[in-house]
Formats: sequence, structure tokens, C-alpha cells
Amino acid sequence: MLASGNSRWLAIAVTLACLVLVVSTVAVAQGDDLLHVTYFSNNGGTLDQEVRVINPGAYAPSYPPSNLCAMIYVFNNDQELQECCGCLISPDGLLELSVNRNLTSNTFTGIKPANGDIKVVSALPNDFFGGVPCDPTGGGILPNGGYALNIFATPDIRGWSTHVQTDGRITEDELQPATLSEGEIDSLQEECYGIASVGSGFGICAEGVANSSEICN
Amino acid sequence: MLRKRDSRWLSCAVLTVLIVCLAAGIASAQSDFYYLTYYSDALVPGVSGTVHIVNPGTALTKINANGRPLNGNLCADIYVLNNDEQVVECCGCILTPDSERTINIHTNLLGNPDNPRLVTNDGVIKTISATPDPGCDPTGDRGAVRPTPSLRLWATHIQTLPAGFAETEEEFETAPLSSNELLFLENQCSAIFTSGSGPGVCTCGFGD
Repeated sequence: MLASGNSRWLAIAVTLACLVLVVSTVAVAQGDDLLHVTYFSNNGGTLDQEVRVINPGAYAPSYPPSNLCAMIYVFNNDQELQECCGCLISPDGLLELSVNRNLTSNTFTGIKPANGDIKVVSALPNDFFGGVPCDPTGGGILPNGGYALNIFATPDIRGWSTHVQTDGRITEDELQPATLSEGEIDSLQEECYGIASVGSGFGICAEGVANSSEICN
Repeated sequence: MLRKRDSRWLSCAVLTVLIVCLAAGIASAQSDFYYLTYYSDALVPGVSGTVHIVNPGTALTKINANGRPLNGNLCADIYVLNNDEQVVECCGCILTPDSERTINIHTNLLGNPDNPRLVTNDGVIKTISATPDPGCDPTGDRGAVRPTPSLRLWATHIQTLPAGFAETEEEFETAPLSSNELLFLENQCSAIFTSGSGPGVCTCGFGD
């Protein structure tokens, strides 16, 4: 039999170990559940590809579950940001976007990319300035000259995308989660602000897309 | 003051927590730089699977005043094996943050084998996400490959139907990368680079 003091220490050790496991599991899960990536290919032909994003309603700090923003950043395959936008998705809402018509039809450069990648950051609404519910620029530049960077990434939207392959076939896979680095989220916001501020309307994706469960800006 | 027996249990407790922390850290870090998929029906003319790779910017830590990435490049070190576990081609491909590469399995990964007789209809593609050195050297000859999270990869697969073919898609699977496996891949690739006089080096398709 263990002495009472020993069993207390043992209990503490087991409890701490369990806590560490839970915390590290949650941290890994959350760190990898903020950024979701996919690619597009052979864009601009007769076949189109579709990106679908769902707010599963899992983020529910209070009742009812929270709205979430899908902050969307579209790059060509030369790492140049071509379009960005934010779409508010209500719990259980489904956002459907055409790569050809909604994500690459209004590019910053005026050139429709055939291949590239799409990044979606799951975030809380950031309408802190009375502007748009989901601001992918993160609020732009403050009076002091610094970037506001007010996107608060929050799990856990889910996404899928179809892809047009070179032989004309269409395939589909889910958007893959990836760890969202601080450098990456800052870069996305600042680059998006850059094209939104000098693009004269070009560079904004999904403009006008709206239904009862989502609105994009 | 703690009694001697209490302090021994305290030591055990601390040690347990440390081991769990270490194990959790290693487990989470190890699983995100080694990726696998298969290819199929590679010898069938007119059809080919495709590999797509994205650098999601996970390694990006430095940006300029306009948000432009200043670091965060990653290498996709690619090893193509036939279904008899022999490396037939290997290469290293650079990817800048937010970029995408499109690689044709038939032409880019199997179009220049070290020995054409070794190419089989089906096989395995292994990819390691690594830090550039500053190029991408899959042989480890210029310094060991340094696995670094975390590229994201997809592959389409050609499936045989009773009449014709279908194309399916799946992301690469992650797997733990043992130091022996890494060394084995580096050594096989090094042999190809050293003795192949060009054949055996795959190409990186298009994209940046």
C-alpha cells in the first residue's frame, strides 16, 4: 500500500501529466485549425472549380453558436496575392464560391491566373470600425502608421474544393489545415490592405456574394 | 522541509510531467514534414496523375513594411520509388511562401529515370518538407536535409475502370520520419546524382 503522502504526489503527477496532454493536444489542434489551404489549376477554361466552406457551429462561447469569417486570400502560382475578401458565415451556413467567377475574375493585376493557391483563415468578425463584417485587411493602417492587424483567428471552419485537372477531369479534396504563423497572418493582412487600397476596386473577391447564411465583402 | 520519501515522489512527479511534455512536443513536431502518396498506371500512355504542392507560409517569420515575405522558403525534397522499393528519381524543389507548384507525375517525376527498366506501373512518392541550404539538395551531400514543417501536398491518382480510367484525388499522408529512413533516402538519391550523369533527376514542374 502506498502511504497517504505518496499517493497524493502520485495523484498530482498523474493529474499534471493529463493536463499537459490535454493542453498540448488542444494547442496542436487549434494551431492547425486556423489556416486552410487548397490549390486551383487549369482555371479560366470551360470547366470551373468550386470552393465550399462551412461554419460547423463548433465555436459557441455562448448561445447561439458564433458567426465566423472566412478570410480568403487568392494567390497566383508566383506567390503574388491577386484577390482577397472576407465572408461572414452563420453557424451551419454554407459558402459556395466559383474560382473562375468569384475568386479570380477581379484580380489586382487584371490577369486571371491559371494556377495558384487559396488560403482561408477562420476568424471572428472584425467589424471594429463600422465598415464590413469581415475585413480581410485586418483594419488597414492606424493613424500612428502601424497596421491594425485586427484579425483574430479562431477555429474551426471546414472547406472543400474541386480541382480541374489537366486531362479535363474534375477531382475534389478538403482544404488542408496548416499551422498559421504570426508572419503569415500579418503578411496576409498587410498584402491584402495593399491591393485593396491601391487597386481601385480590383483585387476584391466574391463581391456581392450573399444569401441567408453568408455575406462577402 | 519535505520528508525524504515525499521528495522522491515529487521527483517522480516532475519527471513524469517532463517526459509527457517531451513526448507530446516530439509527437506534434515530428508528424508534419514527411509526406507520402502512391502513383498508379504510370505506364499507360495519355493519362497521368498530378502532384500539387503549396507552401502555406508556416516557416515565415519576417516580412517587409508592405507585408512581403522576406523568408519562409521551403524545399520539397522528392523521392520517387518503384513498387520494388528502389528510388528511380529524386529532386529538390523550392517553394516560396504562398506559392504553388504543379508537377506532372508522368513527365516530371518519371520522365527521366536512372534506369527506364526500373520504372513500374505503380509506385511511391515520398516528399520531405525541408529548410533550403540555400538551394534544395535531396542528397544531403551539401549538408544533411533539415526537415521543417510544413508543406501541403495533393496528388491525383489514375484508377483503372473496366473501360478506360478515372482520376481520384487525395492529400499526401503524413508519417513519422526516422533518421534512418532519411539517411537511406539521401544515400540512394546521392548515388543517383553521383552515378547517373543526369538520368534519375526529376523536375519541378511549374510554379514558384
